[in-house]
Amino acid sequence: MKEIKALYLTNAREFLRDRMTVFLVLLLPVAFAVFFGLIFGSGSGFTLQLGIVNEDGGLAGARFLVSLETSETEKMLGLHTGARTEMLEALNKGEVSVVIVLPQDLTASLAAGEPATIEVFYDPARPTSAGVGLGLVRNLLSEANLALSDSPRLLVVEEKSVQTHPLRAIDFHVPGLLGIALLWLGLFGTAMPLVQQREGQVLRRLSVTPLTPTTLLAAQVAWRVTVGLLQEVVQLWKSTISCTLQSRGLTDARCGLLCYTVDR
Amino acid sequence: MNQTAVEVCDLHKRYGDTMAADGVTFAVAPGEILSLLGPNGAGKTTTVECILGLRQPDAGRITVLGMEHGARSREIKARIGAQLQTTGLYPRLTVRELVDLFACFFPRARPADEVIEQVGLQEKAKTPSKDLSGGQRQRLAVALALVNYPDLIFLDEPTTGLDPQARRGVWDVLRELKRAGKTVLFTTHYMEEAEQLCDRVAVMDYGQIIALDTPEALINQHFQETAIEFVVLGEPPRERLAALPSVTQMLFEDGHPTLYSTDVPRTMAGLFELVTAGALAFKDMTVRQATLEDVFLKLTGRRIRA
Repeated sequence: MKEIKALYLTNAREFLRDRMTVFLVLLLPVAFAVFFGLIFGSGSGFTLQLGIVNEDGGLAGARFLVSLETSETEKMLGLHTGARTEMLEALNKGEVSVVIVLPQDLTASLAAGEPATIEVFYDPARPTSAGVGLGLVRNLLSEANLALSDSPRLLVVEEKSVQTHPLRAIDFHVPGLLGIALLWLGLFGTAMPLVQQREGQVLRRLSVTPLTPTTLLAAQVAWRVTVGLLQEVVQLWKSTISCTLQSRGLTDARCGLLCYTVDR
Repeated sequence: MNQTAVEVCDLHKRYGDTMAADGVTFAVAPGEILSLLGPNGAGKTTTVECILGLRQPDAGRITVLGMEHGARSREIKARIGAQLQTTGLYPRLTVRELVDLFACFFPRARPADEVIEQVGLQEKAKTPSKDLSGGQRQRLAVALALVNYPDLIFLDEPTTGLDPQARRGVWDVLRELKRAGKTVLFTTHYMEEAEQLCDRVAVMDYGQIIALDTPEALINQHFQETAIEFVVLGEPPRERLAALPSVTQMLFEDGHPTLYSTDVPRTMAGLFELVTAGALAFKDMTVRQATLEDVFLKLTGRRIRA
């Protein structure tokens, strides 16, 4: 046991006296999390860039547009209107994910009680946005169909989440933080020092003492777990700081963004 | 203690096409300081590493303090001290911390201060090992080999690459071990080190021990002559030098001859006759007794540092 304790302290001293290692293992993950949070964390949801070509000069097309703008899903939509060529070009450029074309005879067809065909253009090369977009459009058109036919909603969905215990902040934070900690521990916290010790012939020197590999390994594991916990503490501390600042309204929206995105 | 501290019998170790140890056989008696002397690549380190259990021999038998590696490896390592050719140390640990660390690996350990004082590193006790000079690092490596009251000490080229002052510092430690009656097996390619510090010398070349005895016995066995060295100005008359009276052997290195003479006055007289006749001009003459270097030269046909 005294060997494990001594090797544990040795690892701790080597770690804490090497500023670069401390930076790489403890602070760089925070810096990375902030960096990627700022890049990729600019919102929580998916916004569908939807192109509308209203070739129908009548009331139905206009009402469809109004219904889109006032629907519950409007906040998920980025609406773009324009001519067919203009919208299809935008689709080609990736500026919109889906284009809906309301046909010229839409109002007339509806008035005659006949079905009207609505063309929907999408780009299969972008399967994620196209898939989500098509689903959303189908839902919108389905809603429009119901509204136009004045049919009552016979089946209503009531969403209820099942939660075995109240979600605490730590339940929310720990899995992600553990992932980051394990990633960094594997790369910088474990592999690098062990390779250095092997290249520096430290392990070779230890091998001519009665020290067993099991003891060496136990000390390494104990210290690496400690480093992992230190990483957790640093990450949680950073999260606490950013959340506190946000809740007190002391900082700008960027701090809130950090709190919301980085700490997920 | 056993009759022999180390016994190596017909050790063979091959790396690819290179035979690093080719039938090495020798024994170290308790309290003896034995040196494996030879040039780089002679097989000294391989032999020591096989004895330490760092390498598995291809063939042969090794006993250390009456035990063989394998099941009793830990027991052996608890009773020996080792300084490897390349000493790997935790760079940010201080001298004292390193000594304390290694001390806790052994069932019996000396106080850190005592060991540090023995190698003369008291003033550097709080210095990280990465900030030590080459000589200080070597002394620290020796200190770590002495931390456990070892019955047997292995030092692999403890003075290689050190400046003369640092080398003398390590020599002082070795002399102290000798005075204390410790059993030491060390490797070197410095002749003077082997001559001054060892009870016996095993001369190695190409993985074999080609001579094994006390330094004096080796020199007396191979040389009754005295060496005469000088620097020749101009073209040396090789045949006439070799034919000088009482010269039994002549070596040329970088155009500078070494004559081995059984009768120095006669040889010198002949030498000055050549000078008088205008056949030879020289400077910086040295007359000395034969050394292990000369023994190695005679046995292998080349100098050890070649």
